[in-house]
Amino acid sequence: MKQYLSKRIFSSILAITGLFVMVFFLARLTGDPGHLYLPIDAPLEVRKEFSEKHGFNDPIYLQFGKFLGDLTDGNLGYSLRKERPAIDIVLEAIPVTLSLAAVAMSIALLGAIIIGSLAAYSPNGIFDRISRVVSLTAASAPDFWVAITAILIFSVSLGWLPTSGIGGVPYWIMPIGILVIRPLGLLVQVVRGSMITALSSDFVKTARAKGVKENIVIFKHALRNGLLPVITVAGDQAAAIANGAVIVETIFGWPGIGKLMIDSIMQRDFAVVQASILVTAIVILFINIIIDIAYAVLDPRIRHK
Amino acid sequence: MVTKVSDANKSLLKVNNLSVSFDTAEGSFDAVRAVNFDLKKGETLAIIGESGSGKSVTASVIMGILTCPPGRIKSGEVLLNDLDILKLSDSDRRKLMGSKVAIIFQDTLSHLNPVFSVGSQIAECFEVHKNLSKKESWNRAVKLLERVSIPNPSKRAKDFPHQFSGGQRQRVMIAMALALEPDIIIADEPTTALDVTIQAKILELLGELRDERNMGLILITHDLAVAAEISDKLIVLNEGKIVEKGITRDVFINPNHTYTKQLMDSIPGKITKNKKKTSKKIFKPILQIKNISKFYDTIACDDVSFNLYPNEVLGIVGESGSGKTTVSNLILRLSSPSNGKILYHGKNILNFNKKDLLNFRRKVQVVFQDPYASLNPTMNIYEIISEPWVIHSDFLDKKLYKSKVSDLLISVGLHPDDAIKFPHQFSGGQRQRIAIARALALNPEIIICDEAVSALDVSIQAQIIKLLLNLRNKFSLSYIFIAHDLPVVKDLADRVIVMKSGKIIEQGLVNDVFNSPKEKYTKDLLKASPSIENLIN
Amino acid sequence: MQLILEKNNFINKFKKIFSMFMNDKLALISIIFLTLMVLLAFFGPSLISESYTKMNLRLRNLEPFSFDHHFMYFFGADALGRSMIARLILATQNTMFIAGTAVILSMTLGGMLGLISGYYGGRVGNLIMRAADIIMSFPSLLLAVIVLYMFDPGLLNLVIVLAFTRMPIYMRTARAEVLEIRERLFVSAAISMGASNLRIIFKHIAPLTIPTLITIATLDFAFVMLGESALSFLGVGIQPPEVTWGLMVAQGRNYLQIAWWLAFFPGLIIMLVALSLNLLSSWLRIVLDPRQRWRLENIGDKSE
Repeated sequence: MKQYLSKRIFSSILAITGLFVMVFFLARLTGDPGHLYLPIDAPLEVRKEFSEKHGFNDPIYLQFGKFLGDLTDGNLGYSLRKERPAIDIVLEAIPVTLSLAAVAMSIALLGAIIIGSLAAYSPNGIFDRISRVVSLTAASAPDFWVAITAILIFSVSLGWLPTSGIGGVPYWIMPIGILVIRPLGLLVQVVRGSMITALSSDFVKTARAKGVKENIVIFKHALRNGLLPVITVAGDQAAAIANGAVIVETIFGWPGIGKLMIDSIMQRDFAVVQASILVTAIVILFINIIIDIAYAVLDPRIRHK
Repeated sequence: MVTKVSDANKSLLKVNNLSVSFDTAEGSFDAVRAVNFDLKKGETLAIIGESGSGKSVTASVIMGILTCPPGRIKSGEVLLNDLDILKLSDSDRRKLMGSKVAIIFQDTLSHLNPVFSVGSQIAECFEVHKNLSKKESWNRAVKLLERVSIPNPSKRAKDFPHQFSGGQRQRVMIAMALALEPDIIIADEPTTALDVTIQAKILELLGELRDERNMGLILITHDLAVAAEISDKLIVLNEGKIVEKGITRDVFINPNHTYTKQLMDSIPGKITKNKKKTSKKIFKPILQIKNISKFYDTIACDDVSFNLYPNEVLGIVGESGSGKTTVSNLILRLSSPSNGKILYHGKNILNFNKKDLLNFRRKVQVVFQDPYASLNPTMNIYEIISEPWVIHSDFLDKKLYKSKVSDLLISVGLHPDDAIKFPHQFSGGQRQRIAIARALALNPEIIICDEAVSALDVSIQAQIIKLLLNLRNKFSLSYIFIAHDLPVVKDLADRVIVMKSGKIIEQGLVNDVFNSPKEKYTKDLLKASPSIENLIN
Repeated sequence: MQLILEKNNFINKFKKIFSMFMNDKLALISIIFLTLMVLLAFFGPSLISESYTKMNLRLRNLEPFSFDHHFMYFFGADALGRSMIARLILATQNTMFIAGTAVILSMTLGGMLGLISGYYGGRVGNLIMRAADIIMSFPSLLLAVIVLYMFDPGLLNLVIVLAFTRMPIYMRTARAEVLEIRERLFVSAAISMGASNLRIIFKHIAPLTIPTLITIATLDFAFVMLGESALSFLGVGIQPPEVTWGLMVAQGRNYLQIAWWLAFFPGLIIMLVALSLNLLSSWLRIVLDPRQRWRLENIGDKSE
């Protein structure tokens, strides 16, 4: 188990390094990095001076060495727009996105487990048919479109909810609702599938032959096994929810990492973009490790590998 | 075993006129037709049948775990102490399951829940039926594990199913069935996947427990020899109908129905061979295995040497983990040995260049155990049988493929029109015939049969063995026949090698090894192997 | 003789597929709708007369569902007075082309890489999978935004980026399947028959992975389309005067309060196409899984 986990951590760190190296070289090789950092209308002298100052004229391996050196010092560059270290700006934005994602993911998981299990109990029953259409519709909904349609209805027409910004519960309803839709739709399908498999497994027969009650058969024997594939998919959903966060934060004006990254890109503040990439990747690494641990807790076969 | 005289001559279980059907795409078919039987205290009833005979469906009905739909109970009653349990409500019924009647399944790895410890799965019986505390239930579970001879039970109770061996898992299953001291235990193929020596021990344990608690035991099996070892009376099911019913010994001595006779004739180990005069000195060996070893994490095969002579059938027997399949993979060059040489007509196959290897692959063919897995499901039979010629393109002119495929299909007892069908349209035995036809396609010298008949029903098994023997004479083939089942090897082989833990324990002519084994392990194996002769003689 | 049998076989197969469609009415509707969309993507733009795609200031933000004008204006007109229906049809071509090309590209490349890394294993195989991990461990939308920001957000780059971010799915799936199929006995049988590696990969292994890959591709088409729309919505996707449904939603957003239909209809179409693909994919999953196929066959035989 320990060996398995350390292997996973090692390969994740490798993945992050790879990602970062890729971003570094992409930024350097696609032309003048000054182009990325400076406004489009910056005069030539400013560009030259900028390149000189930041060593962009040095050979690429020297730049890479300096880049790695800075990285180990925790120096992720300086935001030219906000005139602050990029890492500070990113660390301010992260908790906003994390709380949004955590609430959305919990709701999606819980909802999916309940709906999916009920649908799986009688496949092709009336509940299953309805939940299939509804969940597939949810999985197909373009989140940005749902968001602006929801604003149109609930804020503009009905005036029930605020259009954007952060604050009390009313401010959370639409962003969370929109963030939940697609993962929920997807997870319902996954839970349904894995619960159908679990409920038709031989060990369920054994439990029934022991005289165990149906609700215990479903929610103890089958669910514990049915959750295993769900957890794997939930891991991939961590990245998907980050995608959703970009849209939701942009539309509802939440100062999270998604909005920060889009804004920084639009403002050509590349240091912030770089720092955001690294921090996001590390957060996702942590989530994946937690999921690996959860998997091992639920499945003894993994634990003893 | 002796039939016990039961104290009360009352039936524990009576199944009257039970009929079950399944609704499928092809319409509804009857899986169980008007089946009657009864069971008394301390008695063992064997229900015998091949796959699809309806024996497991009957057990599912008694246990209330038949999946409906597609299953449907058409008529009949199941009287448990004179109470028709088919008429009970689900919750009343549940109270009887596990406490009055319990079941032991065949495939223990899938029938035990993989994510709970075995202790908690046994303890659950007490929690569900007796409302005992967690701790008390656990203690009782540990005691049960001790009773079924799991070493170090208090520690092992915390382990999970995958941490036990097959035989131990079956013991855990038995402990679970015993938990509430039921009147009846149904054992559904309890020993099918186990090695013979372990099978013998499990059967012994079941008999012991039956006598100790004076329970009724229903043993569901396809293996007549197993039934002969342990049962008092038996019924034989064929296509859902009871074709034979009676006291075990009487039936075996004097079977009434032709199906039963046919089954008994199919039991391997009875072909009396006219000793072949294979004096090996005349022939040079085709294949010489010299001191080969293969190490993975463990030693899979250790210093194994033997020869194969022309037109000879060499049997290799051993239990799981004995290294017999490793040997076959090494000869087929599916993997390379860590040490040793394999000589084919005197040349080491490990040093073969591409051309020599291709020629070797032409001359040495294989038939695997599982006919469901050894044929590519996306190719039709014509493609499957002609594939060897496509690979060895100089062997046969393309125009002749069709007629040669027809010839081969006929020689393995299939119809030429079968060529356009796909593997899933055939039964297990038919697929094995197709695999044999493919192995014959290149006129090989050697065919390696790796457990080639193990997955088949006895009557089909007997047919395939006959086919293999005929083909051997027709095409003058040599076989290496690998099996865990000793009687099968006895029927087919001229010489036999006994393997254990990667080593050769004993080798010699079949009759010598089977009639007067020298090594203790071989004797144990032969003794553990159930047989009808013990009962009759 | 054999020819007739084969022909009959083919007809029977077709009948079977048709009856399995009939047993899942939603899948049937989906496939009809999708076929219509594909036809529209191919032939639609050439059928529209130019007058509907030109500016027409008299019809600015014309409301939908009125019969006062030509039926091309039934869904209203945009801020420049162009027919919504005409715009949607033009967008169909771009949207379908981008998503289709990206999916085909990522399926072929990803599938091949997965096949190779699964079959040969070893260092190259591991390297390929680590690369997949790198791509997978990062939100695909952000990755695409960054890359499109560094390069130019043209049609080609968009397709490449979308294909690139989706490739790991196929690599992982193909690899996992190959690892399982490689161990099956018919592969061992082929090896011991003397079959070459290429023959084993393409004759024995690939045909068994294709159904799974196609099922995923159907689903992925929806995913890529949603991704493309999101990128266009964020302004780093396709650039005007080219148009996709996603871009139409983005442009309509500015007129949300005065002309809701500008953003609503293109978004609705995105959802309907994605839903159809989802339904089709779940139907495919059942049809291609022999253990589940009876669910669709069973009902059919009863009604016959």
